[in-house]
Amino acid sequence: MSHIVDRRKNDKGKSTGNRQKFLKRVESQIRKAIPDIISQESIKDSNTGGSVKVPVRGLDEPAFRHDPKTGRKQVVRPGNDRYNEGDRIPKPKGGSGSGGGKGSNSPEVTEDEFTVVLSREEFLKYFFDDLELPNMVKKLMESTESFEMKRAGYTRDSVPSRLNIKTSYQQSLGRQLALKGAFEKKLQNLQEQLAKTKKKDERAALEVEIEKAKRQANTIPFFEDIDLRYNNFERVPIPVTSAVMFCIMDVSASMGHHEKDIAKRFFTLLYIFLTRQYKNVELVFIRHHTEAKEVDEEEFFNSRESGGTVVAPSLKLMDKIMRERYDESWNVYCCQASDGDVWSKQDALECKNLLLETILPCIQYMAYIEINNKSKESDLWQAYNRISNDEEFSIRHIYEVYEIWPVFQGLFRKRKEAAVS
Amino acid sequence: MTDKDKYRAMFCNPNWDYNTLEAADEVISRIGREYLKLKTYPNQIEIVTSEQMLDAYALTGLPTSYPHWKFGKDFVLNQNNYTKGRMGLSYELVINSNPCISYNMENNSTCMMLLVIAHACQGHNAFFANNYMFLDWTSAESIVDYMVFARDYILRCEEEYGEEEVERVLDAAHALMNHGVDKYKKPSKLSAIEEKERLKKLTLIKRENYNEIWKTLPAAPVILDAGIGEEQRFPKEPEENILYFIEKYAPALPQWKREIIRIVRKVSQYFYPQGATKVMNEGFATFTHYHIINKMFEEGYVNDGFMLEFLKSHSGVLYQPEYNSKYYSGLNPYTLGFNIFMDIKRICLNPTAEDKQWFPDLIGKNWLEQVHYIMENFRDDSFILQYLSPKVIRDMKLFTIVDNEHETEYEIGAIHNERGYRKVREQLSSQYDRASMVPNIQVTKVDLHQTSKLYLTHAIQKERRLDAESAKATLEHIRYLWGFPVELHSKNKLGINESSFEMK
Repeated sequence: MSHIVDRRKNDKGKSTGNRQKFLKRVESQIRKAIPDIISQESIKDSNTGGSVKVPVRGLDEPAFRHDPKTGRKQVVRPGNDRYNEGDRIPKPKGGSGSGGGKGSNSPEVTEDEFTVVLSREEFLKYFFDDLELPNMVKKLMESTESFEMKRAGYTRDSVPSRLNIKTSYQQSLGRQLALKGAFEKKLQNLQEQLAKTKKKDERAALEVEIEKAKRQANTIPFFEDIDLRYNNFERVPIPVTSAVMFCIMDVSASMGHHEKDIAKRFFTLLYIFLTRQYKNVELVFIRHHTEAKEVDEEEFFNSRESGGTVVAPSLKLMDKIMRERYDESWNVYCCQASDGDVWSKQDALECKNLLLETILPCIQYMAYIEINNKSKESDLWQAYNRISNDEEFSIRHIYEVYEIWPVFQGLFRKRKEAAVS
Repeated sequence: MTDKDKYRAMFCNPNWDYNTLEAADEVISRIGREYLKLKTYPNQIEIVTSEQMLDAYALTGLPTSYPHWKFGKDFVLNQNNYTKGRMGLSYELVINSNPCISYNMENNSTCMMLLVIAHACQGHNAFFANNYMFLDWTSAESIVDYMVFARDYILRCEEEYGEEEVERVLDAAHALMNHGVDKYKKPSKLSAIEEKERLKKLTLIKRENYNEIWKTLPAAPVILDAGIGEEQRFPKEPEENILYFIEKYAPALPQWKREIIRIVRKVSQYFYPQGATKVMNEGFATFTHYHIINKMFEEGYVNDGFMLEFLKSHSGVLYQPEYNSKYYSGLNPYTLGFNIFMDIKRICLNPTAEDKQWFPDLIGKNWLEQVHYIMENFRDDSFILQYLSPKVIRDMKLFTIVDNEHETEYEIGAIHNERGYRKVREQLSSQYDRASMVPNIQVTKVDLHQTSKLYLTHAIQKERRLDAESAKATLEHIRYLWGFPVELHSKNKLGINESSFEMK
């Protein structure tokens, strides 16, 4: 008798484990492919999620097999429409005429390549595996600014509003029972003595005692201080799960399309990175030429303005926004992109001081990327260079798209490696 | 309404439900049993989604298997091809087990479901249950159990010895899968319970014989007792089952690795008949569904519309592009097998003068009995060699091409004419012979005296040499398992070395 089973509701992930094993095997290839993917701008719409395709060279499974080019082979084919026994047909080949030699057939390179579709999660795992946001761990461990009260058992001493009636009553009942037992025993003793003795004065004394014990047994207090139990609360530090990222970009005339494109990609990378580390990431876009302005993303990357460059106002604006909107429970990251042109040395110096005195102490990390081809060190670069350290403020040069990933990696390399190098 | 009307209404509705399948199975098994006299295992028909089908593909239909990246790779490959539309999934997948498990795609129409049930649950099932290859070399009763055992064993090894080491052994054993089959000795039937018992016994014996003091002795190579002293050759006879040889005689292999090799060997053995009966198996299943559905039509279970859809699918299955078509990708085993079986029936019923000369044994016989006899007692190469008739060669216009490495031209060896029939037949038969696909490599010698070196010999056939890259990689795997140097010689007919590979 046949048995019909509807399996459709069963799990479909039967191959997940084996797939993971396979991915592990091609891990190095996936990692290698990541910079390509970034420069091919396939993660531009990174916020939307979805999957990423990584080309992988098929893993060879060796076995003893015949070399297809050798030997006397006879094959049977269907659908003969023109041939007769003994017909001869020239072999099709690329470099014909070489005739008969063993190596006459140029080896065909079989590109056994196929793509692995990685889910967004998997991709990001490879993407950021060896990176770590500077200071982030530290912040998580040390960020005791934010606490949560959590119930933690009972205490004997607290304010009346936290009285736990049920537990207190349990204590009281126990105490009452215990005391009552003690008095009753005493009473029993006294009554036995009373029954034994005949002397009048003794009996009277005993009766007084009995009377007293009875009274005491009836007047056990319902609640005493020792019964009272209060709910206990403890302050538990909660890890900070929100971050805000300030993107500051120079939009003066000197920043062309190419520079902006690089800046955008860099910001995108940082954004993806942060979304992976924090539950909640907010973005603040500040652009500046001679004056700074907070804008939305669209405007930030697209509209174009001209004019000279003064950087300090943007830092001031950032500082203001930070103090107004983001309290201490936020992790603050800042990323500034510029071509390094500034109006005057004075401006650069002001920026340096602003950073050093007001901004750097409050934020987790700041990265400055300068998008030019390093022909000369800009004023801003020189100013920043003096205060940069890899702990909380890094500066880097980028000019080509392919440089983004290495620079990004360099900026956010795990500290251990940085210490070694 | 009679039952038949009710059934017809169900079968002719393109949407099916559980009742439809149950009714279909009932009618189809009855026809299979009474009309085609099929003896089958009980069926377990599983309705699956495309994702589940992909899972099933990755494990070649087995409900479970040990974990290995290879299955993950196959899964990713199939998934890519499927989602890109480069590959369609088959309507069904069936495995040789008792009960016979078949997976049917949920998006099949009713007609497809009936076709698939007739094809897989009657055709393939009967083939598994009656063909000598499957009966002798596999045990349908215990394969599912055995795979559960294999999975658990490998998982335990992974825990104990680390995933990487286990993977290393599996990789090496997989490279030798084609050389892990007993072609002549029938393997003993396996069962998970017995297998566990065997392992238990093994550890028990080991424990009983354990003696702390022996630890101080240098470990004696396992094979030393096989003839030291005299100049005896070991192994006495060349051994073609390389995996078996390594499992039994590798000098320094820990027991658990031997067990893993054994598992791979058993799985390889299980799939051996499938590869050797592709044409027959598919041909017979197609022959079966064709007869069953036609019988249903005769008996009035299905209407003309159903038959149109059926014939469309049926001819789709049998589509054989010609050699110069861009869709050509080899001979379609469904077509070849179906044509041969149909022609056997024709020869029994309406023989021509030519048939009387070619197949005197079939003339006037009961066609069903003959089909049964052939289905039970042949495999692809012998089947084609015996029963590929001139008519089928003519109908399919088969011809042979000779491709000699040393010549610049192909030569047409034989075509569908009087002179060519036998040649085409022999040629096609040898094409389905395992020897033409898997190089003939055997263990010929082990150096027992000094190096424990393993010598393999490849007997070159038809001047076909080994693919050097792949051979080297495979040798490296053997080197790992054997634990000592390995050497491979390719020898031609005269016994002269043509090429050698060595792993030190």
